[in-house]
Amino acid sequence: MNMNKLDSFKELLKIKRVRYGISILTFLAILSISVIFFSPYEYDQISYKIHLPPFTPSDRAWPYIFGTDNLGRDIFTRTFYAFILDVSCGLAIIALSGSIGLIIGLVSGYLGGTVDSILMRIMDIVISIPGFMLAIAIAAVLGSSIFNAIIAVVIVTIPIYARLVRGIVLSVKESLFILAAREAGLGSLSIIVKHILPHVIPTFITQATMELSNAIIYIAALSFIGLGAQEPVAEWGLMISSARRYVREAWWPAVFPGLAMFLTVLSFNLIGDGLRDYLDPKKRVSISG
Amino acid sequence: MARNIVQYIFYRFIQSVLSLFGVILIVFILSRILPGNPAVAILGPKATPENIERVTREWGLDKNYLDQFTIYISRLFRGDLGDSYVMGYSVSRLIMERLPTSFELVITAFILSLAIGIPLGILAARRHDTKLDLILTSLAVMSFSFPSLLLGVLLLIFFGVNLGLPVGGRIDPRYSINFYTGFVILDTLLNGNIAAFFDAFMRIIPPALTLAIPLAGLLLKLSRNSILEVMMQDFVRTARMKRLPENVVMYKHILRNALLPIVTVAGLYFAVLVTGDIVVETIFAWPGLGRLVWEAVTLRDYMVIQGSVLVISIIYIAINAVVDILYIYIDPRIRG
Repeated sequence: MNMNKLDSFKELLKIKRVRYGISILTFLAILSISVIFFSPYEYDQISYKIHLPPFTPSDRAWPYIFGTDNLGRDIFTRTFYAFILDVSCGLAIIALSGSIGLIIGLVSGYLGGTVDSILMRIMDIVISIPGFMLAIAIAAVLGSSIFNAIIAVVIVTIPIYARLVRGIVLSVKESLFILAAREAGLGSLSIIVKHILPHVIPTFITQATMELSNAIIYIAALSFIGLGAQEPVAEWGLMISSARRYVREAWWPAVFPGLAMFLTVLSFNLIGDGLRDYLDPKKRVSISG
Repeated sequence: MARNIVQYIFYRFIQSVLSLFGVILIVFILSRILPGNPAVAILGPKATPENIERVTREWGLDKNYLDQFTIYISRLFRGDLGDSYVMGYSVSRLIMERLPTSFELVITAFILSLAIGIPLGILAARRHDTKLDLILTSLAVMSFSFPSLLLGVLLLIFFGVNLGLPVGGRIDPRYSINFYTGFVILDTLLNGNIAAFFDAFMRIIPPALTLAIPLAGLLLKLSRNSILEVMMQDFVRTARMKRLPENVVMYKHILRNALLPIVTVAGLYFAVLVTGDIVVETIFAWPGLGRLVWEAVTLRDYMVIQGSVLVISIIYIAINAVVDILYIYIDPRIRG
């Protein structure tokens, strides 16, 4: 079994996009970890050396690789602290909304009937509202903090998973092997967990990977308009928002966090895209042909 | 066949009405779970007791939630979204003032994305499986991973600093023009003020490009794939066998069939642009509805946030419904 998993992972790495995505992410993660442990600067350490350009030498061990911002903080340190924060927020969002959506989808698809119609009508309504607007409305009510922004994005993204999972459940529910399991006297819970869930997981994981980049964009955008992370936290959207006013004098405080965000989002999209092709045999043919 | 269409439109209409009701309900619930007295949220922290009492009476805040919701809905139907305590006048007036400004930006962005995406898509399809095709499709994929935060800042620096063009806002305040359409680009022309027109034109390009580039990438990819699919079909082979000139085959046979669906799909993304422009308007100080949301968030003006969320959601739902219905009319394959 383990051998099998390792093999399929190797198979997956053969897809160029997945390989690129994983390499970029590993590179960024290594940089972030070294910044946290070895950077001579604190992410919130204010100094009088404001708007120093990139690669300005310093009396510390590291030069100001990405320069300093309007409060004299080291942008390199802040950008990679923000990598950890934004990716963790993204992971928290997909973990929460994914598991809630998974449960709703499983229950809704398996039980059918009234429960299904009520749950799906609610999901329809939530999905018909532009996600970012709903997230703004929720975050504005809850108050500006990164935690509340996460809750807002979770609420907005639940229906994506719920609908996806329900669709898969409906397509396998009437299969012979499920009927056989039921005839054999298996309870609903064990049928769902042992026989339906394995069919749901691959597509679900692919979707979650794609949604990870959306979640990061949501968090950054909410922070950018003032409904997420608050100063002095290092967060990409917030960093760009603070740097925006001075962009004519200094471009680097806005551009480097933006580039880090772009690379991260791109990597997750590449991995998700590759995963989808890997798991969908129809797609695989059309890509190679 | 015709009955099916009517049924579908009716069904789609009901669905949109339900969605609208859902949005209103959600926004209502959110406004009532605000911590503290909702009257304070409406009036702001400096509210006097008399004002709190007046608002409590006007919005029925001392009654049960069902009555409150009825009052809320009936006020909404009269176009009353409450008052902004910070800016001092009604939220609906604020929104109506800002709406044309946002539409001008979004429509320009939409036109730009069609003008960039479709021709490049045609080019990529004509040269499919060449280096050029590979470059174009890779650029397209990159463009939709490009966060508008970064793209906006880069274009702001490029146009404002590197090219030294005027950026930010709609038009230099020293130009005084009369408004007829609410679209500055058209109004400057109607005023016959060429200098003002160029100023306004220069200012709309960077924010419009920021919105347009990701959509252009998507259109490029969609139109390329759609054209390639049509190229494989029998009637194209027949046209080629008749030795029709390649350009005639391309423009009369292939494009007509490949692009109509794309243009309608693009309509769906028009709605996405409407919501996406909050970030862009904030970066470029574009005084539209998105910027209003940002200002309201900064000033903690809850009524304005709530009103803008409602209006933008309504526009979004309406555009989606219209595009869905148009799509049936344009693509006869679905009508069947």
